[in-house]
Amino acid sequence: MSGPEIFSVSGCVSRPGLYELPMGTTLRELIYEHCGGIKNGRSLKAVIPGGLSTPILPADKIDCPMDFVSMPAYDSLLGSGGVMVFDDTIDMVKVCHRAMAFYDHESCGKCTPCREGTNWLMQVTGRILRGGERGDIELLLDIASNMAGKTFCPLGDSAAMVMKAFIRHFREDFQRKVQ
Amino acid sequence: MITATIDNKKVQVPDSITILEAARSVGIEIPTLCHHPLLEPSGGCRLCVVEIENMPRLQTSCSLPITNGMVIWTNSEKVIGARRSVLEFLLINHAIECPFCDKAGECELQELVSKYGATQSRFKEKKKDPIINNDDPYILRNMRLCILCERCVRVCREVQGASAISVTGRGHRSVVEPFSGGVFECEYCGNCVVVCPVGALTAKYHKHVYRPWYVEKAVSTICPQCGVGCNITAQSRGNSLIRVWPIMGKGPNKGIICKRGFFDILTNTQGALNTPMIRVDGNLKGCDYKEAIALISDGLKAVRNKKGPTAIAGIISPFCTNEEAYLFQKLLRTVLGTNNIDSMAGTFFAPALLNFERLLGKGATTNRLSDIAKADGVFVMGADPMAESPVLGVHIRIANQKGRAPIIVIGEARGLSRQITYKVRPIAGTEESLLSALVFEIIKVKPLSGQNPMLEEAILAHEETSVERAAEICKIAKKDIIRLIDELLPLNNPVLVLGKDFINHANEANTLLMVAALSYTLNAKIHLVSPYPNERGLFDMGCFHSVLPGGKTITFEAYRRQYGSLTGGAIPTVAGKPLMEILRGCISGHINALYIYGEGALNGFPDKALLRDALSRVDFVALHDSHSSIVSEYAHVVTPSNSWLYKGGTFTNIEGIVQSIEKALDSPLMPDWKLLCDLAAALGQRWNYQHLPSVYSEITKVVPAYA
Repeated sequence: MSGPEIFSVSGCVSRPGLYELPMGTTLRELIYEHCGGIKNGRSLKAVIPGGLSTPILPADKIDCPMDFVSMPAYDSLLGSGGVMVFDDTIDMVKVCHRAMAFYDHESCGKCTPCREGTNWLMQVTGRILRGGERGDIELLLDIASNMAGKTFCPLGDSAAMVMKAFIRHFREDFQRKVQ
Repeated sequence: MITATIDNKKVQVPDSITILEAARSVGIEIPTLCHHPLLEPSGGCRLCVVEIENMPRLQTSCSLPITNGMVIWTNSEKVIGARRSVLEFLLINHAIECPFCDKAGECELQELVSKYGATQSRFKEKKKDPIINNDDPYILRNMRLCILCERCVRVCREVQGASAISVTGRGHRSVVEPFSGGVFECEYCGNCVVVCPVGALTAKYHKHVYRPWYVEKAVSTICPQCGVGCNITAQSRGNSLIRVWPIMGKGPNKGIICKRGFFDILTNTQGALNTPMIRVDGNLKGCDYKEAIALISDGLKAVRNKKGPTAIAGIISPFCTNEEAYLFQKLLRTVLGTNNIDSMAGTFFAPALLNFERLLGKGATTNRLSDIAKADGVFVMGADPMAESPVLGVHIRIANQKGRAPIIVIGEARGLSRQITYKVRPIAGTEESLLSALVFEIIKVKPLSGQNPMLEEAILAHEETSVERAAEICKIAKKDIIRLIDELLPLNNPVLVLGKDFINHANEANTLLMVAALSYTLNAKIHLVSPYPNERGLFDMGCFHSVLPGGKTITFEAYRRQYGSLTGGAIPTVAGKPLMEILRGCISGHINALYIYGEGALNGFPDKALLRDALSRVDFVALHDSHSSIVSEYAHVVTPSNSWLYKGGTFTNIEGIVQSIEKALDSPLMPDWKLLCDLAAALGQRWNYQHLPSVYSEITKVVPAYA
């Protein structure tokens, strides 16, 4: 993997913007060297590495080289190179809910799992934000599994993959809300 | 043929079919929702997914073609899990109204959930609350029940060619909505209601009347609303019709239906007349059958004795079955001794049939409806197929939509207005000149082939009309005629669809000759449009002034003798009068007795004033009908007839296919064929028919094509 890649960095970094860097540049280098680190001296919480449809990465996984081959080893994807950086003040459940609202809005409605699943995921994450119910996290995982690989196009797949990544890395954040 | 493995079973199936079709052909059931045999695959519901070796994801069997060596599992744990999850997803926004939903009991979702689904809901949020619309006069729309399989939208677009409804909104906010807004304001073909797997689209006429378990009796029969002869199931309860439903894949309609057959048919049940009546002091008074039959026979006899048999005429309804038609003409010909027999078919269908069979050969008009859909051009003349024979019209639309066939219209065809490629409207009565111009222009490019010398001679003997002259006569622009020729010339496999508006006038034979010539030069198949169920049957049974059963010309003595010996009676030699002449004869005093037989025999007759005049002047009118009409105001004797639901028999559709109608409901009235037998007996001829099939078996002897 070689050649340049344009990263569009947004969120809680000192210098958000477009950066043209060689493929394989690590997320750490991108955030701390090129973008000037996290804004206001806060610490990093998570990064969505390549647009909303790529699974989120927690702060301890930012040594991954940003190229198509290496990213899957870190359970994520290079995607479009649209990097979103979140600091420790940001509520991951809220981010997740916002992501699900996006999928709910984007689903075309043709196939059942995506049409109904994206909306259900949005509704359950919204409920967790308001306090949630016991079993909600398992329900989210189950809905996501029922969508994954069963939809007409990859949009439903992405929603499921993203949902699962949020719970995989930030289960405690969800649990704290539910309790 | 290819070999594949489905559920560890080696199967041999034809290639180019889908996995779903292959599995079903070997008896393996795969549940489906958005799949429908009438429609193209959609792959939206995801219920039919199967596991395939070496494929990472589950695949929709409804859309994936099977290939050689494929290894498929339709029942693996993964597949069943996917099915269950799809059903769970579907139920999220499907209001569980089963106890009071009209679809319960035949709801596809209900059946699938009880077979594969979970028993408990995990969905605790609020269901979406979309439109319930009861404003439409025919279709109830409850989008809380819609599972967005899009069958309705697809049938409206792919099959009906109307595109009146669409999915609006996106994602889980999608709803099916008519383009016209709240109410449908479409053709109301009812096909969306027929294909809806749940209770989202239902018919207002079925509300509170029909539930699947209300059905006490269901017979498969033929729709009497037009000449297509759609195969339907008539469902009844307590001896009354509650619903009509098309039979999937069967008959000329192959599972589709139209407004007349789906909605209007429910009002076309037994008529108001339920007892024989005779006129006493100017008013109709009830009597018994014996009295009525005696009076009919006396009335007819009196006229025959005084003025001779040719003073009697019979008019039969195109709603009558072949059996009734056969007996009716037998009664008039062999018992009463007159050939004066005609019907509303005499105004267009029968003369067209007679002329085309004579000019183009037997079977010239018995073409399959499916040929229309395959045609590369459709030339509609004097008909509005969507109004007169809607399912035929649907085939024209499909030819246009799928085959890009141009639709060329002479006259008006409102139902096809969105599809028409080119239309001209000559003033009424001048069609012959226009056709003559077309034929002679086409001959210049495509010379006559010499295959049919008799027809070619007739064409060449016909006066040639130049394009300029035709434009002048028809009051249309010259460029219109040239455009018509340009549209018609490149066609290799066109069809001509001909309707009654074309030849309602004096130069009938010449107009028909020119249509035949056009069909001959363009190598086009002819389809006759008929708004009645049995116009072809009436012709085949000989209910036409100039033909015997089987379409045999009455002027040949050999045919008369042959038919006479088969039926045991003599055929009168004096030629009969056509419908218009019969009615004019009533006015001029040449016809003194009329026997008008069958449901609404003259309801479609356009010149009501002439009809009234004729009826008021004739000495004796006997009527056999289901409803009061203009004729019953003048009739001296009225006997009640059974409508299609209350009798058996056969209809012959416009394709020439003989189809059985089954008795769906019990009738207290005398069977219509029996009445004719009793009348024959009263007139002095005993017929030995034990039942309806014995009439048909005599028909098969006289008309070998019906065997």
